[in-house]
Amino acid sequence: MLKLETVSAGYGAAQVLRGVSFEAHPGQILCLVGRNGAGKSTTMKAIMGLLPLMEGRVLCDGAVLSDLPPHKVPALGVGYVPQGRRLFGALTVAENLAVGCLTFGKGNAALDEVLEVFPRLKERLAQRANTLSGGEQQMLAMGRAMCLRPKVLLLDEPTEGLQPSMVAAIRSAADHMRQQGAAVVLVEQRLDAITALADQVVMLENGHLRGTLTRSQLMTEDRGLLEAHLGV
Amino acid sequence: MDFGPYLMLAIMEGALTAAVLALTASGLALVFGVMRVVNVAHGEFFMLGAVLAWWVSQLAGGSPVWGFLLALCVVPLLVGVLAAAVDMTILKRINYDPERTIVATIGILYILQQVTLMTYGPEARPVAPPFNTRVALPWFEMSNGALQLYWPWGLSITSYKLFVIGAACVVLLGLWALMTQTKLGLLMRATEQDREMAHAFGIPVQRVYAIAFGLGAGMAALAAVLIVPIQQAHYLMGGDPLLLSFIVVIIGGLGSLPGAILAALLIGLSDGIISVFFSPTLAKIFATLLVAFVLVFRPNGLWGTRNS
Repeated sequence: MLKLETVSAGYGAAQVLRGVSFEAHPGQILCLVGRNGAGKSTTMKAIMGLLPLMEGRVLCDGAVLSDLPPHKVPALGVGYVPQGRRLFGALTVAENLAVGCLTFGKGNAALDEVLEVFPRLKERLAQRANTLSGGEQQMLAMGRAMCLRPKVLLLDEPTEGLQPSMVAAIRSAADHMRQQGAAVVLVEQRLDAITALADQVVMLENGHLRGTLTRSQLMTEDRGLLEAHLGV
Repeated sequence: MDFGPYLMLAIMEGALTAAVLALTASGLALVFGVMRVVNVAHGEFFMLGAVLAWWVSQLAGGSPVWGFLLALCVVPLLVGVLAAAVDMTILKRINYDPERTIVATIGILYILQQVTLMTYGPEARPVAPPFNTRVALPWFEMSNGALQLYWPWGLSITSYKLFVIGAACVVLLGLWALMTQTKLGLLMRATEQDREMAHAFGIPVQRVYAIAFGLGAGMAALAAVLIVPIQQAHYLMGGDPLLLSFIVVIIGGLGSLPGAILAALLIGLSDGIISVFFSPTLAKIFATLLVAFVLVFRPNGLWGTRNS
């Protein structure tokens, strides 16, 4: 469904990603791991078209995302939850959710589904996003992306700095998206989350692809290799 | 005239200044808020509105009412479309870089000013007001222990000035409704918050920018159409509205629409009152001093937020 072919990208002249290729499949969670600065968030931005590619291409269902202007990427079913949430802070919860729903005319059905997954947001609809707690903000960030009814969902460290109950809610939402048939790309640093959720693990180091692990490999002999690539 | 009626007269004149200033400054605040562009050419879009209003009223001929109504409908639209074209052909190409947009809008300022001088000429030309009856205003006095209304000599305002104040209130309410109740307003506010995330959620940011820039210039042109029957149209008339709009936007908080409107009220009313009781120069000194104090003690403006 989502395919990266020898993607290189960076910021200005500073190259971060160097020829990275992998494929995420529908109904599966792909965990992207690597130490700080390995290029995980850069990969997410490159997929969304928020960074120009130096070489390679990104495809979704055969369509070349990297040939499109960035605002047309979500229309092909790619939802994004960035690191640090980056909500529209002065807008209310309802307005944040409406941005996703209104843009593509998905309407109330998508919104109702999101509020079913995150019932706490229903109680906060009129509240400004920047007044929510960290966990609620993360729920909103995920809900906003889910309003697009994405075929591919990119989650960049969604559980970072959250209390355990919130972590569970976010993981449950990621699992919900997998069950809905979406290909979920998850940047994650916690080993327990990776082993609980991942169908496939892609390891990055200094912008290079260092290897991939399937779920069965993950549960057996290559766990040490994975631990070596987790962030500090 | 007694002090009370005299103060009333000053307040009415101040309200007129505030109304026009609120329209002009809210356009500038909108452009800065959504695009983070300091539009130095904003005053020239105001000037263009006044000059085009004169042109349209001449073309329409006949009754001044029809000429004015036509100008009110057509001129803000024309100026808005021109500004949107400027955004797409110039500002977009320099990627809205803060420093380069300042230089680019200074260039646009001179182009608009000199093209107007070459085509319209250096004369100041009047536009006939659509109606202009004098409306006497009442005052009250204590007589035999009770309040009694009376009509002091000289306490009056023209019906057209009252119309300008009313029209500005209606337009500002409309702008508020556009920003808070419509899809376009939501997309503009989302873009204002985070341009990159707006892209990531499918908002066509370039189109939103063109609309915001056009809307901001259209607001300035609308203010000019309303004021040109009171002031004359002249190719150098954009300087004062630009300076006052900057003062208002800085005091109100950069990019804050409610702040711009409240600051326009403050500056407009103080301008009216100080001009009537003392001198217009003192009013300008007061406004400039207020900006200096705001910049020193509240750099985000009286109603601005930290991230503005």
